[in-house]
Amino acid sequence: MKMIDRILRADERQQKLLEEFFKEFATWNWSDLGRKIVGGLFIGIGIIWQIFPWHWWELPHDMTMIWMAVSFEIIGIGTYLRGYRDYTDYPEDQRIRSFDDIFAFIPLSGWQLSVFRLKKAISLCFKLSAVTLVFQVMIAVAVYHEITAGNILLPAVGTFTIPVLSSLIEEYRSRRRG
Amino acid sequence: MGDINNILEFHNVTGRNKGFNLKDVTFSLEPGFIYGLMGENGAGKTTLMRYIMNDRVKYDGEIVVCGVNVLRQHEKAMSLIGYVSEDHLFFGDRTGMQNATLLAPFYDDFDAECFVDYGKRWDVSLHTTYKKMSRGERLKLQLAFVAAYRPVLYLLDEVTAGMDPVFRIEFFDMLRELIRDESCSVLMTSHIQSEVELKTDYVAVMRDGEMSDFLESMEMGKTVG
Repeated sequence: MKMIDRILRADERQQKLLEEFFKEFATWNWSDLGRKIVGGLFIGIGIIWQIFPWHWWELPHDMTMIWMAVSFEIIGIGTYLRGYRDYTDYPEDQRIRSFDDIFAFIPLSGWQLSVFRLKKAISLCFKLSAVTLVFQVMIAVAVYHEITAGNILLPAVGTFTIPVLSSLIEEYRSRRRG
Repeated sequence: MGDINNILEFHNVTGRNKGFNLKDVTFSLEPGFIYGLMGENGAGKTTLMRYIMNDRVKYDGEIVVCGVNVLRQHEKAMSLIGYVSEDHLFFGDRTGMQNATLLAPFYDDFDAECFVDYGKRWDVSLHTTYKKMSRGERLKLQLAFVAAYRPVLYLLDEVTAGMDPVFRIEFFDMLRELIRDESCSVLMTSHIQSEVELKTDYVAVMRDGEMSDFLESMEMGKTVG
């Protein structure tokens, strides 16, 4: 993370303030736990389905099952990564409100806020990618007794690169909106 | 770089955004006074406030608060400004004290004792959730919060609209108390001409993104009629 701090020009003081703010603000609720459980389940089912009984890239004729398996994993990733929203929105009066509406009036750099959120997104995606990678490799070894490039590439692209890029785009659009 | 003896300076500010923009606005505010900005709805009063507060607004020219450029040093400028408005949100499900606990760390000079003291003097319940407060209580809470970090510039955006007469007198007494030591100033917007003329020291008129010079309030009363 220190390398990311250097690349993104993170201000240590403001990053620490934001860390403490969200720690103070965070209220645990059941939907938080549910999101993680449901997300994890979908990801797990999606991964197993993609690898067993076929490797997805050694396609037999029936693509439908493979695409369903991929969809499961994507839904699971999206559900799990909703945790990123803890740093952008909060619920109030049965509505979703943006932290930006409040941060706009305090001595906080918009850039440092974006850096903070991106770091959280990268951290979440990294943890998820690590878990899916281990999962994929374990299943591939157990069933096929080999590890192929796809077992590495799928987590690297599907659970890390694409979600991180998506967060980057969202932050960029948020900063342009003003 | 502006004159640090002035609280706020606008130097030929002209907006470059889609939609409504300020047009070549130039003025400066000295410490120790209440400045009023009048104009009809849509004249540009709130837009002017937005230019000061928002670092994503594009414009030519320069806006400086106590020598600090609001675009180039946005965080430092925000610590010098106290903004009070109905648009200034706090967390509705949290009490005044909880809101202060969350947001105060972002201000180097926030004085928690001062915040509590103002809350007591102005009769604001710091343990009521923000959304359950009346409009007047919310404005007093906001003012107590910003006063606690001693800004040099108080920006009040249409805060007196809809206030009852008793509270209006109380509110202006609070403002006079805050600027008594002449280290800060108030810039408030309003479309109520009589109030601005009677309660402020200097007044300017905003019309279609352009601003007149600040005149002494009594003198403006004779001019505008």
